[in-house]
Amino acid sequence: MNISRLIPYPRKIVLAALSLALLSGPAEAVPVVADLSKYVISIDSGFTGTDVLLYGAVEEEGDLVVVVRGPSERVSIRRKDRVAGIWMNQDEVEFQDAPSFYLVASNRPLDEIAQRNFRELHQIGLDVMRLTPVVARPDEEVEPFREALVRNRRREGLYSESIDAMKFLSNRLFSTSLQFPANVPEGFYRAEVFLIRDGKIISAETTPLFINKTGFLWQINFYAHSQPELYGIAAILIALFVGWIAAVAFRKA
Amino acid sequence: MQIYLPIAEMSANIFLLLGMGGGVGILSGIFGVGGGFLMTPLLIFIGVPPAVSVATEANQIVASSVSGVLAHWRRGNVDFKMGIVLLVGGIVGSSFGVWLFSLLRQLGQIDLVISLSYVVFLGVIGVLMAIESARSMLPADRGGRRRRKLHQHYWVHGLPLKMRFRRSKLYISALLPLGIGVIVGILAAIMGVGGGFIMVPAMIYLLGMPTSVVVGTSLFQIIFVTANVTFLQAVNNATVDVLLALLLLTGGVIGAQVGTRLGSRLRGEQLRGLLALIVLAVCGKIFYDLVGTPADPYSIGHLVP
Repeated sequence: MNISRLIPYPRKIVLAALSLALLSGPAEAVPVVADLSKYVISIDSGFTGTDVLLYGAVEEEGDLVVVVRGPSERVSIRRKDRVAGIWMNQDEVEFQDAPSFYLVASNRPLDEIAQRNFRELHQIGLDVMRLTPVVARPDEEVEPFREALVRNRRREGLYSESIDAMKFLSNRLFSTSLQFPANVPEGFYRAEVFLIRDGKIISAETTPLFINKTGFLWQINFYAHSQPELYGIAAILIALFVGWIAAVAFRKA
Repeated sequence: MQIYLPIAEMSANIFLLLGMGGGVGILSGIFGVGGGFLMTPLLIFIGVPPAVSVATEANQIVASSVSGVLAHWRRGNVDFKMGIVLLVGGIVGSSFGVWLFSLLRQLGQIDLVISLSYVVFLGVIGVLMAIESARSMLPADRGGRRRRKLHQHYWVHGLPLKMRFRRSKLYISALLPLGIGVIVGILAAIMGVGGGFIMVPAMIYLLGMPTSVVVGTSLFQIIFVTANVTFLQAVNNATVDVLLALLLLTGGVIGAQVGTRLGSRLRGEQLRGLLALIVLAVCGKIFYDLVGTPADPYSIGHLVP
């Protein structure tokens, strides 16, 4: 994947330019500058999750919020009900644009930083996450499913909200550790840093992040979906071969 | 040591997977059972999605059946003609089974159907095995077994399309093994089993085949039916995890050898009683998960492509 190699370079240049601007003249200073400790996360066979450090500097006072979003996807939520003593899936709601990953970290509770309709507009916070049902239904019917999606994803570690993870190291420097679990989906991610004061965005900066499956494992998953016929035949041939080897190896026994 | 399973999309401990393969392998070596009916529920218990468990286990059974059938083949214990008739039914049944599997998956009911199938089959088998081992442990019954006659005639012998099976010394309707093949094929697709636990008794009691050729012939059929399931599951559902299958296989192959050696030294009746308990325990756990109030009644379904 060439893309993954290409991303970091232009941004590093941008960052260098920004830090130069920051050093050269306070009059022209950018209110917030942020960067990540890495731009590509590779999932290989030993992947058990990873932390990425987000760090930067602010020029003005305010609250800091970072939102990391994974690629959106269509998702279905099902509810089990008791039928003849057995719990089985009954009702279902599909959302067409659920983020596969969503992390928000701030220096204090989100509702203290800004009002709900402001956060809704900028999609800051799990409670205001925009989820559109594929089939329109009354809000009161959709709401439990919306909450269930967030709850299930939180349990899986794919959604998270931490109201004190953003740490100020001094008046100007800040950092936070972004945690990506083992089951993090691949794709293009976006880390948005907001500097908020009096319910307004003073400044914002977006940094892309790419998560990809590498090597042997990525290829297995790739071929399973792109060449399912060949994959199926290969799976059978491997099994036939291993079975035959085992029979030959233990023949004397 | 954790390993990331590419299709199950989860991390699992590599030694746990090898150990599961080994443990089930030992049991299958001791008792001469396939082990699919224990492995699939175990995979579900450790968090592998049921759909992936079933399809991957079918892939593993291809390998274990190949190594099993070769030994029987060398001794001439495979009735190929009977095997092919069973196989024709098996291909039809397993193809229908995978179609049904995909449909149920879209409806969000596949996990339920897999669990219910296991509760029914493990429950019946566990109870039958427990009764048999209890009976054989009673001293009064020792040596008093009566065998059914091979050529007893009842309604199944009136069916049309009669065929001669020389190796099995049978002249019976082909519809019978075809029908058995279809049922076993459906089970293979839905439950991720070889189906030997249904096929072997059916071949002995329903078809009246000599016991010497039963295991070899069923293994011959199972290879191709589970291969068909593997292929169709891979194409329709992309649920076959080759890495997981390979790990389970490695443990399973070694475990089966250990089990075969252990089996000749240990007392059969008590072991059979133990296996019956294991089967009933697995059945009980699946049943409990179906009727017990779930921690969260809401769940995320599989992604709609």
